[in-house]
Amino acid sequence: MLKDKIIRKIFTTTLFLFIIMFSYTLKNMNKEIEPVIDYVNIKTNYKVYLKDKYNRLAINNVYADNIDKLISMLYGNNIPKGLKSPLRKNFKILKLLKDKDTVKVYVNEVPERIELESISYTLFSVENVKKILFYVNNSFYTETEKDLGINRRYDISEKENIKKASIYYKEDIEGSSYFVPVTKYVNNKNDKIDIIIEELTSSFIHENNLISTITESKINNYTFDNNILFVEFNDYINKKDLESLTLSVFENYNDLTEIIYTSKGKILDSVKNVKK
Amino acid sequence: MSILTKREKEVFSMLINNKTTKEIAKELKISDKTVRNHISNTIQKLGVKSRCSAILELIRLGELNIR
Repeated sequence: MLKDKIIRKIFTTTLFLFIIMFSYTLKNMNKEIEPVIDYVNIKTNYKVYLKDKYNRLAINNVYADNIDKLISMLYGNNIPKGLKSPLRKNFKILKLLKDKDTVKVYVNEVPERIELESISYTLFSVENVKKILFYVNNSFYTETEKDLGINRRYDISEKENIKKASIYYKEDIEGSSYFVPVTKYVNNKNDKIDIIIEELTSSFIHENNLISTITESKINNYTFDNNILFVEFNDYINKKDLESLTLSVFENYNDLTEIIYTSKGKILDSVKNVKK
Repeated sequence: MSILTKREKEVFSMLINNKTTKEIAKELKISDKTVRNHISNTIQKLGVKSRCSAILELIRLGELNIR
């Protein structure tokens, strides 16, 4: 009889514990998962690619120095005048995980092209990031690399000699200057550097408000030597006017460590690739 | 999912690297006619009128990558 009582007590207690555990499990299954932003230790400044009034992605001299600020700026917080968030209102970046040269980005819905470009290029500005993997609701969606292309434009009339080069133009909005990268697809037998120089020296104004600041100058020569590019101008040129060319060159030549600008034997400016 | 078959992608990847139909056929060990068929099928799938337009469309769709 005592044995029966003990067995009954053990059974009742076990059943009671089981009911509590089951209820707890059920409760947690129905709980909405809060988005978690995992940090990456940052050693350099990020560039944040935001939308201008022509729905192009643009950057300026405002940088984020940690992931939290970066995501916040992509959502449109504390961003420069004249620029907007490139992300839709309901689009959420749930989690970022960095593993060597790859960043995994978890989002809640399929990204539009502009969202893919802005997130990818913003993260590519981080030291050593070469590949982005996008996951939508935890399922793999797509992979992007540095040759993704941004604000793409096509000027192709033949199937031969199709080349791609990303060129940074300057844009002035409400008293502030921004840079707008445009990846151009053209028919051209020459190297990317020739395409960049040809484009930036051809015309002062390009499409809607895009400016090139080196049209008055002539480039005598350029040479690559041990991952350094030397560019020789025929005359003096203001350092600020070289920014478009610098950004364009580093965008297309990832292995370059430095660009040295000269004129008549004197160094005008020397710019190191901050990602190297 | 890609709109091109593996072979169609191979053919167009070689086209954008300035290979002729003959050169593509030789490299892939298929006939000239088969290469042209792959190109025609792709053009039809994309609803375009020429090889150049097909290439352009494939680049836009991310099916072809120019480095």
